[in-house]
Amino acid sequence: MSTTEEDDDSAAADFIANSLSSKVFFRTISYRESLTVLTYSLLLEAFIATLNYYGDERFIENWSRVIGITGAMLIILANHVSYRFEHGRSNNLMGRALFDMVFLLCFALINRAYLLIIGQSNQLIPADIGEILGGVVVMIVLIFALEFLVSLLKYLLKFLRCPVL
Amino acid sequence: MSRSLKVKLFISGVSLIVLVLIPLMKNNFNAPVTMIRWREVTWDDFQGLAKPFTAWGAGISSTIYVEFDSTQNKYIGYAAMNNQQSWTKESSIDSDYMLNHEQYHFNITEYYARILNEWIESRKVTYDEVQDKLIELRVRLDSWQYQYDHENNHSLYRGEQRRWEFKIDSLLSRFSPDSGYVSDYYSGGRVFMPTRPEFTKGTRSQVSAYRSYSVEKYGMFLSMVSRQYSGSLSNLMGSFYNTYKSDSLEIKSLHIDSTLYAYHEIAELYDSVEQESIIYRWVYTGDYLFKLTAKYPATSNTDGYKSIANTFIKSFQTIDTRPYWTEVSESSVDTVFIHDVEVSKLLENIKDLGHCWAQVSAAQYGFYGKPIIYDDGSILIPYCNTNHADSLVQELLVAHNGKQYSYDLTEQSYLYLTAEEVGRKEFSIDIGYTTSEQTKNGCLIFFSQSIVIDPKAK
Repeated sequence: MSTTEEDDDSAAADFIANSLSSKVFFRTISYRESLTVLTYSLLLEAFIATLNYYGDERFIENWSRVIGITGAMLIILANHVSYRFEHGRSNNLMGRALFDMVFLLCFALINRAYLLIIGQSNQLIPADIGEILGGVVVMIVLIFALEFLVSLLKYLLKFLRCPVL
Repeated sequence: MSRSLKVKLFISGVSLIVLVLIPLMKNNFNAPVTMIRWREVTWDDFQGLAKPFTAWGAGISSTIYVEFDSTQNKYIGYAAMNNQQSWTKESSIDSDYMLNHEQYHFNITEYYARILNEWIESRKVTYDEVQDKLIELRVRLDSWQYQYDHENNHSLYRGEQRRWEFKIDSLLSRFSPDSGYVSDYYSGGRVFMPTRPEFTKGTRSQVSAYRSYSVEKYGMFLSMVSRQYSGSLSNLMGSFYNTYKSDSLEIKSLHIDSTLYAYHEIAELYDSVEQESIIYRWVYTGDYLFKLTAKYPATSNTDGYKSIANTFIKSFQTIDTRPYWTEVSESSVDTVFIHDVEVSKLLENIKDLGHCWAQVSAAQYGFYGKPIIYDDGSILIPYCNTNHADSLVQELLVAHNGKQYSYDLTEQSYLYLTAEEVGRKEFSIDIGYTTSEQTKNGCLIFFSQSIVIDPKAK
């Protein structure tokens, strides 16, 4: 094996190790991340409430899923954009996944509390623990899948010289 | 304060305002709520705040609730609308059509309330079971409300809107005694009409007594007419043809099939003057002629109307009326038993005046059902008077076996002859009336029609 090939292998191993490391994320975590999570959780909740309120309008009725998923994705991405602007560097794969989990947990709590306040639910946490655990597992899998796609998007943006993520 | 912090605070503030405003606007800023139980709604029941920027004219908020009735010691489900969550725009309050659309949202809710009550009635239920069922039914209810709006495009597809109205009325009629069927117990005709029809009776062209049930709803006209007819089949077919010809109608299709009945015809027509489609179904049983009519607008999208028309036309059947009349005769006191009616006052009057009377055949004055011959030899004849033009009727009379009896007009009357009065041979019974002024050779005239009865023909 030539020296150049050895260097390439080493760089790839470093990249994977860096991507899956949560050390940097935890080392730099601060109140700014809490505020980001809270802000965008409120924004997502407001977005969903508005979508429901206008749920019977023809355009929203026909496109509700597309609008809902697109909106949620954009808000999740906004979290990462915000992180990049505040830290001067983008988050790695593990950092983004952890950030997403904290964000979705915060959103879930705000959502339940909101429904409780406006009288559309009578309990903060659903009684079915199995359902919650199942939901958490599915959520983790989806987050990693999503963040893998975000990594691809990042490379695309880098290629387009617009590295906002 | 950093720029990113300002942005975050701005987003949070706007989000919070939205989250607070939406429930407040939904509830008309917490104005006092009246829960209106299921009934016909008016625009006054829509007190809520119209949604900003909405394309729709009105919205109704209704769902099912459960209460415990301590007197009956059971749970009762009911449908109710929230007047502050139901809203309308100023521009909509003149639209009965739009109000009707909202009414049927409420009717769907009522249907689910009845399903809930049916479920409660069928078993002993606990509070938790009722709550679980309530949640399940609310999910199904929401799905139906969505489907209703989706399929008729919020009432913009008129034909589909009408089809849904018919469908919801049909489902609600499941809980009524006749399950939405209208039966004419004189002729034996039966047809599905999910809303209460208008009933008329009379004599057509002085020769044919009829009983008619009709509904003008769903933007359509639906009717079933039973006629007493004993003429020839060829005359009958000729009259159908003349009907189609004289009305300048275009015949779209004609289907004749006499395997089940003496004569059976279904004709689909188009009326270019009224711009409507018409379906006629004629059924002749040998004793009665049934005419079913469904008329609907010939608009571009007629699928919904056509679906209603076909359901109505195909639902026709003839039933055995014997059990009904047997039950009526056993329970009712408001009937005509000709064997124990008192001697007519009229006859007393005639006697006093020294008059005689003359019997003449007259137009069909009454509509009678097929005589029911019992095993003991007695006979019951369902009979009702039909309206006629003569306002000078003095007395209603029945003549049998050389005797005359008077009777009163009642809706469900019948004549009952005991076995002794019947005998074994074919006989006739005359039913009719006298007038106070018309005479023949100085005698009062008894205008009558004869019903021929063969006691052996069970």
